[in-house]
Amino acid sequence: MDIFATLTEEELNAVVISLKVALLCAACSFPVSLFFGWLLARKQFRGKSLVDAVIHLPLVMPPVTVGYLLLLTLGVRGLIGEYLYQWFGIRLAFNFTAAVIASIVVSLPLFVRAIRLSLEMIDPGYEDAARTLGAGKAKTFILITLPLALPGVLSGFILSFARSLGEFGATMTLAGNIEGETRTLPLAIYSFMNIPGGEGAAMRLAGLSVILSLGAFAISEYLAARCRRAKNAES
Amino acid sequence: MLNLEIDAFLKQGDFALDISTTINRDTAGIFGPSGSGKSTLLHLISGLRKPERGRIVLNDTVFFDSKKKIYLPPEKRNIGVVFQDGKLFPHMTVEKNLMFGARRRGKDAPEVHSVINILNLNKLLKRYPEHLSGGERQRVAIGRALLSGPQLLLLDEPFSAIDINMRRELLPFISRLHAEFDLPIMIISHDLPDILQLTDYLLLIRNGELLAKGDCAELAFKQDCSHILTSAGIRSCFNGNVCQTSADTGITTICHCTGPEPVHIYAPYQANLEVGESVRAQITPQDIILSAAPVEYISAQNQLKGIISRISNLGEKTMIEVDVSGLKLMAEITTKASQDFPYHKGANIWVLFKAWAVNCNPCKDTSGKPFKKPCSEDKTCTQSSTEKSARFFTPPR
Repeated sequence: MDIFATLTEEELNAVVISLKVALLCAACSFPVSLFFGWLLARKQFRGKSLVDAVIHLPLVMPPVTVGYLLLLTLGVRGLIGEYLYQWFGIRLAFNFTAAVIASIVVSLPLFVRAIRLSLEMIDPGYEDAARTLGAGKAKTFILITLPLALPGVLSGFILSFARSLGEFGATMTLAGNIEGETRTLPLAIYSFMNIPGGEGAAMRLAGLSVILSLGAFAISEYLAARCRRAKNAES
Repeated sequence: MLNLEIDAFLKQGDFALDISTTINRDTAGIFGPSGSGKSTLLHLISGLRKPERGRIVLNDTVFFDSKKKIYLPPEKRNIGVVFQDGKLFPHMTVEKNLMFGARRRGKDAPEVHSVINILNLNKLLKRYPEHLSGGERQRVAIGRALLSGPQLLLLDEPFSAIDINMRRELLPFISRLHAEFDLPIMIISHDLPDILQLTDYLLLIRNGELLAKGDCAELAFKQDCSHILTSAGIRSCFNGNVCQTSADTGITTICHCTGPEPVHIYAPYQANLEVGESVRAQITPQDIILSAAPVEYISAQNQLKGIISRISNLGEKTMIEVDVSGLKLMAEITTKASQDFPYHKGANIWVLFKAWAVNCNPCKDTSGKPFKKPCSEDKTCTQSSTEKSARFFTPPR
């Protein structure tokens, strides 16, 4: 394709990193969001509102603040990061992993919300029926609850992916702006805007960014339509 | 034979359920107003809810025992439940819904094709639940519960989510279940006639407590229950066989043959009823006229001679039970009528009602005795009991 041929290696890197971070973010968020979504939708326990608030915090806080707090926790001299680095040699700041972590934390509330809402929409009567028909709790969840929540799970996945594509503040703070490692599309656009003569590159990347977002949206619409069609297949 | 022992206490907010009883009938109806705890009781039996304390045992299997800390989860109880609106899984076809519980089937479980045939589900198999009518949905739900091979079938308000026409369509299926599959059934409903279509045995639930249990006709003459039952639309119910049917006269003749003499009841013609078929008939007590003598030149088709066997005064009305050769019919009359009308227990009396007062639905005879031959072949049945009784009748002085 022409547009890829005209991209410099630096620009192409940004696109690839962005896609990798976004996909990894959505994939890693899925089990975590499923757990918290289920916990908040179906369980009553002490401190539920606290869990709810902590999960939703990144949604209302400035992303830079989120990134800064993450750095204080996971940085090489951070609360947890210090021990992780000393004992296991794991570094969770200023590398690719950090970019994924920043994206996960920022997009988690969106994913959890989508799953929680779709779980709350499901009539517990279906689960009761499955239980009386001999399916245990785990089987009921896999065969009944999850398929019924699928539209919510899918839209959560796309939301998480899209939020991650657009993530700037937290990534910049926790993962830095390292070319070829953590420089995602938004960071690359920002960087090109700051160097003289970078307007062309910034423009191209902005265009790509629009195309990617539209693509994610189109895929989510397509999947939603397929879900509906599968249900309406026979009449 | 079903043997269900329940001793359960459960409190939720202002409402407390406290029931301790044993049910050892093959069909039973749980009747009570909305919010009386019927559905909670069903959830306790099926295991979807845990009582705070108590003990639940079905045929020697302990489901719950708070002292011994036993709780068997619903998937291990082998109890089929048909929920109010079916609760068919929306993402599965009818066929997949039906087969969902079929994994745990034992060898006694009903055959798949016989369930599909009896419930008439053949044409629905590939459809999704959202394209089914209310009645179809309930039939699939019943089939799904049956195919899981339950040892007890619980029906939770099976008619509440469907309209009156669908009800007529679904009733015969439910009436046949017990006989076809030899399966104990408990039906829960706030609609008494619905329950009576399936069973005579009632458990009356009120404010989370068991008010009474027993045969409907017995409870109707019990102090605490008669008011509740009469206002809930109690019916005299009996099983019989169609011995004659004619579209020309518009009459279907039903024979009730369990007493010393066969009793013939005239009901409106129904195209779906054939000679020899078993039916369950219901008659509303308010529709019955009592007379000390037979009445000539009257349009009411049914005139039966009987003996007053029970009387219960309920203040503004009086319930009278008349024994017509073993067939017990309840009549409800106003206090004024009972004052104008001399009666006493043991007196001969004539029971009059229109054919239209008789509501028939096809069913298998739940007594389990197979029907031998149509009554019309029986010599004693060739004459109508009305004529026969009339010949021997001498008017009182």
